[in-house]
Amino acid sequence: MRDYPLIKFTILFALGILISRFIEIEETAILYITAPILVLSSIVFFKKNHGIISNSIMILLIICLGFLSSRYTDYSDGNYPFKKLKITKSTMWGKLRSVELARENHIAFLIECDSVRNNSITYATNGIYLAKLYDKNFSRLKNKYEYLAIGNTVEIKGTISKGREERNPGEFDYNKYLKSIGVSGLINAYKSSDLKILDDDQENFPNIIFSLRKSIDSKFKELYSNEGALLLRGLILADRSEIDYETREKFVNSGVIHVLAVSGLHVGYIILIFLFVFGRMNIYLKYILTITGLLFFVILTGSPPSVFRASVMAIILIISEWSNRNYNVFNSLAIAALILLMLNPNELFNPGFQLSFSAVLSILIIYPRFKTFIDNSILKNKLIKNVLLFASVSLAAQIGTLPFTLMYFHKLSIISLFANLIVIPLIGFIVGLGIVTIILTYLSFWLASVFAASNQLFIDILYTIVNFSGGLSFSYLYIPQFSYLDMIIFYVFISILFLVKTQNLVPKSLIIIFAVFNIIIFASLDDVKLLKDNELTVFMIDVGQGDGILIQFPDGTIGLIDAGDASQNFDNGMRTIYPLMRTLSIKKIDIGFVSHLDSDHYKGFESLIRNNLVDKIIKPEVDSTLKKDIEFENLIKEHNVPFKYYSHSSFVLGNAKIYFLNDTSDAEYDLLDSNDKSGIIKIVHGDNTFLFVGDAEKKAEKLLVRNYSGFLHSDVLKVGHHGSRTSSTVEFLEKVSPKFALISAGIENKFNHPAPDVVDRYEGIGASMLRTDISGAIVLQSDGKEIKMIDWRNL
Amino acid sequence: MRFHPNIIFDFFIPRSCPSCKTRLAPNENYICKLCLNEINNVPKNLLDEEYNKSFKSEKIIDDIFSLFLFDEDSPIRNLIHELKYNRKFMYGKFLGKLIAKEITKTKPNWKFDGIFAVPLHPSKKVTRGYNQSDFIVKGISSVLNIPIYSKYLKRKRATPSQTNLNVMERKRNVANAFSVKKNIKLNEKSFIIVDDIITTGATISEAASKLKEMGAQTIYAVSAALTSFDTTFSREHLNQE
Repeated sequence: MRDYPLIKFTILFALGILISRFIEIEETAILYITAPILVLSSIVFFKKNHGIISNSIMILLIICLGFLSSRYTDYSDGNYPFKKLKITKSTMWGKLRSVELARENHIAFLIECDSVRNNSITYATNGIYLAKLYDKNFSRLKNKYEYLAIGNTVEIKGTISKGREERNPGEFDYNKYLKSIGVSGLINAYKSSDLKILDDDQENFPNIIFSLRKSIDSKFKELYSNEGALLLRGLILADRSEIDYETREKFVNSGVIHVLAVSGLHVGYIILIFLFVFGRMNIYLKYILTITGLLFFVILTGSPPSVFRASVMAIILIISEWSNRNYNVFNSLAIAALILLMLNPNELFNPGFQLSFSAVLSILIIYPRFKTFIDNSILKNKLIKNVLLFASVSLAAQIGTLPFTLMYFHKLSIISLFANLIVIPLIGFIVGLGIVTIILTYLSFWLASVFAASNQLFIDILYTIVNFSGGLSFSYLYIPQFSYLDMIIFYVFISILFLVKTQNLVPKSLIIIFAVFNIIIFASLDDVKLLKDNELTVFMIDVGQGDGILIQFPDGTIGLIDAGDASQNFDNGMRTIYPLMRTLSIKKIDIGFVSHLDSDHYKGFESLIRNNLVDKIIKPEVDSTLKKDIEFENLIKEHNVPFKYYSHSSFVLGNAKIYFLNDTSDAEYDLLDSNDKSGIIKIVHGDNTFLFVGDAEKKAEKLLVRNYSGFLHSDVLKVGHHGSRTSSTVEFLEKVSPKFALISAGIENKFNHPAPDVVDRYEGIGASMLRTDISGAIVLQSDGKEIKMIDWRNL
Repeated sequence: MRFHPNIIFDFFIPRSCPSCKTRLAPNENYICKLCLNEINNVPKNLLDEEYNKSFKSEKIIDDIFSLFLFDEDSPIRNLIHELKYNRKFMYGKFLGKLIAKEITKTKPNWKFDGIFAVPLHPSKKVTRGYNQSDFIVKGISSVLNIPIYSKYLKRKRATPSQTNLNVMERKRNVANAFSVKKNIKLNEKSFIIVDDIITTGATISEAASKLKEMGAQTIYAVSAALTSFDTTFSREHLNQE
């Protein structure tokens, strides 16, 4: 490394970026420091004096450069400029920056906005927006898609919104992600006619690339099964957004998610193909064609860091042979990193960047150790040796990337070593044949379809293996919170293990045991514990428009009142509640309380039940005229979940008591409609009381006031029907007189929940309003004496 | 210190001397000055001796020139190793230029109409990626301005490596390995033929004989390095016993 100054430069530059991100220093202060350092270092440079002082001046200078480049390119764009989180009925004008490949039910594209109109006022505002155009009429949508060209000036009418931030603990911060890629916000439109092309100017080069991507993608659709086409789109065009959540999770469980991203591995396969095809050519021509081909592939895939990294490394290999320079993998890795970081310092925090570089680094450092070990072993069989060597490459990559995979995917795959052994060669065939089929389609469709058919076989094998291995219940361990601290500890252990040159096995195995312990035990030591033992925690989950309230009773029983909505695009059960359960280390829902059969209350339960995550269901009496109610009960029965109906009753859980206030025997109750029959749940924990009323409206409230009067009094009320005008009558509020009023509603929802006069009513009686549409998830904790609000964002 | 673009390029991808592995100074090319000075040029008497021993009797090669002696621990060994096995093909051009300069100095009476490289068999060329002698030829041709004829000379047979063979075996090994394209006229012309290393001269003589069959009048054999066969052979011999 001594002979490669760039490696040191890159490390220091990255360090500067890290410092700028994690330590709060004013950038102007650094700027003032940098100026004299720059002068000093140039003096040092020309004096050619390489003492400790001059070296530290250089080091400081490079760190400052990294710091400044990060600060001055970081937060300049990607900020959402509006006050309102959601602005309906807006019109946006701008230029098409890029269009994503065809989605199933929408078109996604980036607009470089120049102005926005809302309420007949036009604002000039810059920024890049991610637009999505939905239409139920797919053929109309398809027409629009075919017609769009990059560089077009367009007008789009729809709803502008901010990307979803972390609304619940442990949730993916979509807004932060958008910001990191320079996107300010979202705009959604729901009719093809809402998108108009005002000027069909085109940007030639990006448009050619887009047309080519589109064309290749459509060829895949013609030649392959749907899942095959989506896989190849991910493998060759680096777009895996249409691969559904469950399939992706199975790849994660099997530890082979890395193949779904276009990785350095693919570039390796592509170089092999090039070398084969151009093999007999003159060396200059061969090298020029290979470099051109790689650059083309980088552009075609939209340059994910892994592809960029691998291509830069290959190109540097060629350049160093050509200009008789020394090729050193670490050096070329550093060059690739430096280029990426200089273009965008944010890349350092891009999972793709981190995974790709950590994988290569650990292969370079760790694999040689494995190799000498295997070479010196008593093994004689060449085949077994080669399989072991191959497995150790994969193991080395996994060791290096482990902290990142745990941080982003929260799963430690146990079977990944075996899965990779099969999946990596398979992917090689699939990528190779995939490329061959594309080239052939432009020559002979028939021949292409022959190749595609054989490739389809490999794809089917891949899916069968991944579905099987990823579906195994023991395929992975769940590591909910893997922090930066855990990461540092892990890397320190690994470095000691591989840098200390001792032949003694005892200390080595001790270190390995420590490292494993670190992942499984220590990683959970510094975890944030939101739920306290022996206390009652009411956790109102932000499920958008709908209800979802998780309760841990003092005896540890987990209850869930409602589970939010579930649509084809977003299932709260699997996408909000399940990850939250994992974050909170909850294995199962002991009791699921379904308030009533409105989709924004019960729909999320369906996937939870399907995945055997609910032990028991309590729901309103079945309404045999309601198809969804019958279907829901069938689902419960199918999965053998015991269930019962709300009725005037109570039971005890630890030192908390639960009452159901549904007077099913009351003649008036029978006449109520579905909302009014919502399960009314009162929880008493020592001096603290909680009341949950689902979507109960005026009639139900009247009945409750009549039947329960003083018993309704509660410290906390889950406000009926998301704060709609149909509920929260004055008489009812007087009886309950809550200190806290919980409202679960979607941001700027179309029902205008909660109604302003209802909010006024609560404020009038002195209740503090806690709203998910404003604060995201809300956590209240009761020790039986007082109720505390927990600020989960700052724990 | 004058500014040299290599200051920047070397920061990104450094260069080092193929022999002593130290970093090259920005104004040094290919090999460091120290190592370059250490390489022994072939003395004139040794060159004549070699010619008399290996080429004179056959009367195919009319004169030879070789730049360096391929000694056991000579830097030239590393240089040619990089050229042949580490894909540093540009070293070929470098050697070619050095050769050309020496030829103009020491062989002023040579007259030539074209230059050939001893070809590799296509299968070998594919695995190595290039023919190292082609690059030496390019270097020579760029200095002396001689047209390159290499494409007219082909290797039709993939012959095993000469390394572990004795003189007779070597001759047999390369017999009829080359062919010349029929449609060129070499009549009454003089040519240089280039190989990276000359050991017994068997290969280069065989190739040259084909050129003579096609009517070439004079053939000069040129190589970057000359290795005395006796030393290599006797060493191999000792190892076997």
